[in-house]
Amino acid sequence: MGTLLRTVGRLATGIERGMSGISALTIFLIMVLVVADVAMRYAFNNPIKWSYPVISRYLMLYVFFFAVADTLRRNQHVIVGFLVGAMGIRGRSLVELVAYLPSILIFALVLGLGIGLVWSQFVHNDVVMDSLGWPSWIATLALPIGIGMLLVRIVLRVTALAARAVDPAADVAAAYGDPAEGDARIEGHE
Amino acid sequence: MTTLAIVVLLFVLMLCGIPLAFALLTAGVAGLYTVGGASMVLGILKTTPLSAANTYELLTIPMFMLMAEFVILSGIADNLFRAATVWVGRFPGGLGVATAMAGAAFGAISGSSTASAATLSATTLPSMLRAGYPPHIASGAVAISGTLAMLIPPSVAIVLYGLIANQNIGELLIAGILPGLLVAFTIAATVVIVVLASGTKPTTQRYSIRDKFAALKVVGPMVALFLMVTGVIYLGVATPTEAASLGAAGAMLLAWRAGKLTWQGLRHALTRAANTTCMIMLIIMCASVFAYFFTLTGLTQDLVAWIGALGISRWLVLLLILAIYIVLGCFLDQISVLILTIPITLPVVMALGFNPIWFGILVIVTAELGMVTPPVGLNVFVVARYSGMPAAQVFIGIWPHILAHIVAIAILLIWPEIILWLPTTMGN
Repeated sequence: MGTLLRTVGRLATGIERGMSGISALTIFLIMVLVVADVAMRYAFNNPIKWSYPVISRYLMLYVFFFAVADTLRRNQHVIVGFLVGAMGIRGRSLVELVAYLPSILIFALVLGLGIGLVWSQFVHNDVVMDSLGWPSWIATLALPIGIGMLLVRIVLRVTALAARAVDPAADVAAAYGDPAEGDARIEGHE
Repeated sequence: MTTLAIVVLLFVLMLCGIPLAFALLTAGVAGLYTVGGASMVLGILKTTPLSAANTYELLTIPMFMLMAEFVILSGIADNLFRAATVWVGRFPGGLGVATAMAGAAFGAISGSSTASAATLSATTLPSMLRAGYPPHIASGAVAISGTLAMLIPPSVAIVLYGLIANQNIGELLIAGILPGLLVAFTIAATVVIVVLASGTKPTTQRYSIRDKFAALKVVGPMVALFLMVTGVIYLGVATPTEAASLGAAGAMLLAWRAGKLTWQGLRHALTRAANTTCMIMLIIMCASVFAYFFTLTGLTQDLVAWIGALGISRWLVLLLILAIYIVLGCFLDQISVLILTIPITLPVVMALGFNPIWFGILVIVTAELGMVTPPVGLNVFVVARYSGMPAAQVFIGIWPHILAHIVAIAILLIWPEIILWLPTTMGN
């Protein structure tokens, strides 16, 4: 069980890092695109007309959904839990586990709805912008991929918490996530 | 009764140690289910994730974060304190004043208060300690000076307020300039008073006129970045989103010119910007679900009607709201405070006839206090961590600044023009 959890945890980590890399690259692309748009507008009076819809309808979705699982793995979300901080490992694991459980159901619903939406847009050949005529499903696809990976991370984390509640010394770092890669207390609160 | 139960559920989940976003989502879905059943839950879960992520203005946040990362990488922030010291270092408490000046200057090119506190800790604290400043006075000055980045544009906190409150982000950013200078002056004056009152005599140093003008050279890139972001917003040349992107690109060029832009540094900066953006976007998405529930219950309208029926002074209501913000800031981080309270307090404040931009800046100045008050004052822990001092010692040095900060808030309450004048002079 422990070996399987570690293996799945490491595999998920690898995928999350790759997706997070795509998200980071997309941010860089957005920066270049916006600067180019402003430069074209003032230097040549010829702005890049498609930059706004492409950024807001496509690129922002990939920035967000492709980093969502990795952000949880790195514990970079805002967490208030100073109450559980005072508890022992076993008690804290149990409390966290119970609190995470409803999220599994809710994100599974979001995933199901997202898959349905992508399929519907694909079948009906929906387009985001009339001017460009780009398919909507390419943008929406980021949602089920990102939320699907987030769901995997939450399930891994809940499993890790269950293992830690049984045995506080259990090695579950790969499944829980690796806070050492980013200090949530510093980086997550701006 | 249902509303109360859902709010209690939200706070219980938050205290259980799961991310704030998950707590908001779970409580929001539970509330929507009780009010409108499964069909309402499914309808909102189908549309909210995409609509929340489609907000173009949100792009301002990753660009400001990216700008802060590149500014740190370029090393120009390290020189700001040295330049300020050359000009004011000869006066009693001069290094403390230079710390406040460096905090304001760093705030003018970065929107992250924790990054500011970390940078100031590394650059200003050793100099102040070497000059004989008591550790609690030196560390207190650094921790409070770091908060200026929340107020002086570019500011991530102000952008977040603008997004939640649906207010003009450009006007909000410009509105933060004069209060930022007021708070910087308050910090500098407090340090001088505390140093003189403590009876310590830190060593001072004189510099020649040539040194003073030579020191201004390092300010050049900072001024260029400030004009590239705040200048273009003020002149109406670019939107805040475009200005933020220009700032990020400009800061990247500065890091490259300084020979400090490595592949690893670039990757690190981009990943951190992606993670922070994602953290904020997930909170906004989940808070939208919770907000649907709140809207359906009509609680905010009831609250506005109830306060109206009380017949008490609107100023008293405003003071009570700000007092609640100070208390909340002691226990919650600033993002949580803004997300949880603005949808409730803003309609009340607007119904009382107050300006939402003025209120927003007041909330941010008040939220600055939360960055330095126990038990969760984040900047204090950042300074303690970087300096190796006990957090309790830094907290001791913070108290005079908290009192001075309250005076600054009172000044902004009495003279709203300090906040509202500059936005009225903006270009279209």
